[in-house]
Amino acid sequence: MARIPITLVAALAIAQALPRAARSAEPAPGEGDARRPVSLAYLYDVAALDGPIAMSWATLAYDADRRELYVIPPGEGVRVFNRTGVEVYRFGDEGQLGWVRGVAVIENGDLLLLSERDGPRVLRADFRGTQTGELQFSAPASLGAFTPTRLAYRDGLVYLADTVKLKLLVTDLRGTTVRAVDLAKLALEGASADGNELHGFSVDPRGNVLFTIPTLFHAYVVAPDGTLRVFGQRGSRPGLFNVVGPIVGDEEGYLFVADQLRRVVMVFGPDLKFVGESAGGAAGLVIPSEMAVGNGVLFVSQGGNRGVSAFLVHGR
Amino acid sequence: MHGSTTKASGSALVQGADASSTCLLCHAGVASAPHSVYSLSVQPGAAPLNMTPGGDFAWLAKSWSWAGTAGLETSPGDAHGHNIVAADYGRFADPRHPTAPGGSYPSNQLSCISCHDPHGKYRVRDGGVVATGGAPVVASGSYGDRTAYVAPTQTTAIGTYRMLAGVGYQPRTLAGVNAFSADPPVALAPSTYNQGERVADVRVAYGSGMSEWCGNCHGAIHTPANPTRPGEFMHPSGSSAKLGMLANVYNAYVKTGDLGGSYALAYTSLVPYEEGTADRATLAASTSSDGMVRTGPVRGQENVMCLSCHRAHASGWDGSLRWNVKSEYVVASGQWPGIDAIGEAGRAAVAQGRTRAETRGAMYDREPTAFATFQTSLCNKCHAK
Repeated sequence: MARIPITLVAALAIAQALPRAARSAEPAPGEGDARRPVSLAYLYDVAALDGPIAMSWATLAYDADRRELYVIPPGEGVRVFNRTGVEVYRFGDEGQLGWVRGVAVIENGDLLLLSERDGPRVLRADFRGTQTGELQFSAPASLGAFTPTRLAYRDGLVYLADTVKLKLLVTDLRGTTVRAVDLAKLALEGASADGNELHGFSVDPRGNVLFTIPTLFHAYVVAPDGTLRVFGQRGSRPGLFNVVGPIVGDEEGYLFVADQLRRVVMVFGPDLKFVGESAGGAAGLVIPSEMAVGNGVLFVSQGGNRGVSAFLVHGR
Repeated sequence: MHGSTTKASGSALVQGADASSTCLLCHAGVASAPHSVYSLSVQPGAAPLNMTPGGDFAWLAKSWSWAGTAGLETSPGDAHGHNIVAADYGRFADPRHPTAPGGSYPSNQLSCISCHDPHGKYRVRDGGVVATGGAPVVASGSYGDRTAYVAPTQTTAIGTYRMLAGVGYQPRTLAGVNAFSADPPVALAPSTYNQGERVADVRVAYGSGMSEWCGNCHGAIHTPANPTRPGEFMHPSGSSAKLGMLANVYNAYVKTGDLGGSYALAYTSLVPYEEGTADRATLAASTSSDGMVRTGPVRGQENVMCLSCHRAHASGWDGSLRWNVKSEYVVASGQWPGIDAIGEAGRAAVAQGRTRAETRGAMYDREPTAFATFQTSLCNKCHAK
């Protein structure tokens, strides 16, 4: 056995004995990693031909293939914006599709619309927004009462979330149940679902279901195999959660989590370690309520009539 | 809540654009939640989701107009409640009233913290004394259920009802002399309070002091001594405004044309009253949200208060009233009035621009069959005219 210098042994022992000490090139808890600073460079606010659109709390969906952003202002129809953020199309203003609360784009360009009309329904429409069918879904009895309030789509699977009762239903495009998950049992560790609602909800390109529960100051990642990972701590410093809101994941596995109270977007790596955060530049963010990401661009829907802003993601 | 490092404006470094914008970060949402007081994203033609005793501030964002008997008539959103200033949520000062009706509180300073002490300093100590110090606050003082009711002791205190502020309170950001002169009311609510009332009323046990507390800002309203406008409607309100013999009317009145009710089932949360006592243990027995306590006034000490007719936050009706006093009918042809109703209920002057769903929501999801086919104003619950 080779002799190991005593000083190296001692150094290793000290390092092991002081796990909280910052090791070289490793960020302290709550701080960004100086080697990989992340910033959001403001690109634009989505606009109509006559200028920026003032709106609050808009729902978003991003078609990464066609680089189009779908925006649903509350009480209005669906607006479609091109890659430069200019509105190119809109539909559903006449109420023909009911009250559209969510939209998702499937591979061939068709749309899935979560609509309220005599109860929640999932409509299928062509790229013009003309209804072509309806997803006949049915939650299994084991899931209990289920009222979907959020919609996502990924790789042939439709994800419906009941954000109030913390339940998830995954179906195929015919509406056949693939998976039904009681997120309350999975994530709450015995806590009551009452008052603990989902805020952020999305599905990343890898099929991970992402959601946040602000009252618990946590964000959650549910892998396709059902494995749950939880991250986030309460606090006011960078990387910590005050009123945690929307969460999305990009193609490279980075997670973007917005804090509504601190008005920042935090970035976590695929290993769920905090990388950095951004307040959205000089203009700042006003209550980021929903996000979408793709092709290196992060879209943030805000309150205060700030509309939807697009940011280029640097430094991932 | 504080500690904004990016704010260039706003006071006390609150994270939101202003105090209310900060409060609403948690107390507003797209779905109804126990603690939610403001529905975001309300479906067109639908009612706001929250049905708390205080009401949903989202009614402030709903305006209606219709062809009335005197021409175009309106029900502007600003008329539906307290216009809290929350810039991040698109809420601004009431353009109709530069100051509080019957008072001098500046409307552009109205926020959640105008009424609610955000730091919860005001507390109820043993003996019912309201103070800002002394015994530590160990529990909320808002709830009367068996599982939630807590009484103060010699060494512990409880919070005031809904963290309402008391004597001497004035937000630091508020200029002038607008400090409160009355302590918060004595009242207890059931733990489950944000729910429709189709099956059972949510009964808040109001004890005493509500009108006197409202008088902190609205002192000159509805008083014979200082009418706000000539001919202003003046209605007795407060601890001296005992129901007296009107309690018998209250107990007898069921609906228009039906005075066959009884004390046992007389209570309606549409027309609440104060019990006329500050004894919290007594009030705790009156709170309910499952319909188990429906008795009407009986002790002779009950009195009318501001909240007998108004909701504290907002409602679907002008003046933040609990029912529509500007229509001939609360229910018409057995239906909730609405532009989508048939017959008399759909007549413009009756529907007043609202859909049936909005009317129903404003009446907290009650069935129209709980009232008369042509139900007149609920002033008749006490006055039976």
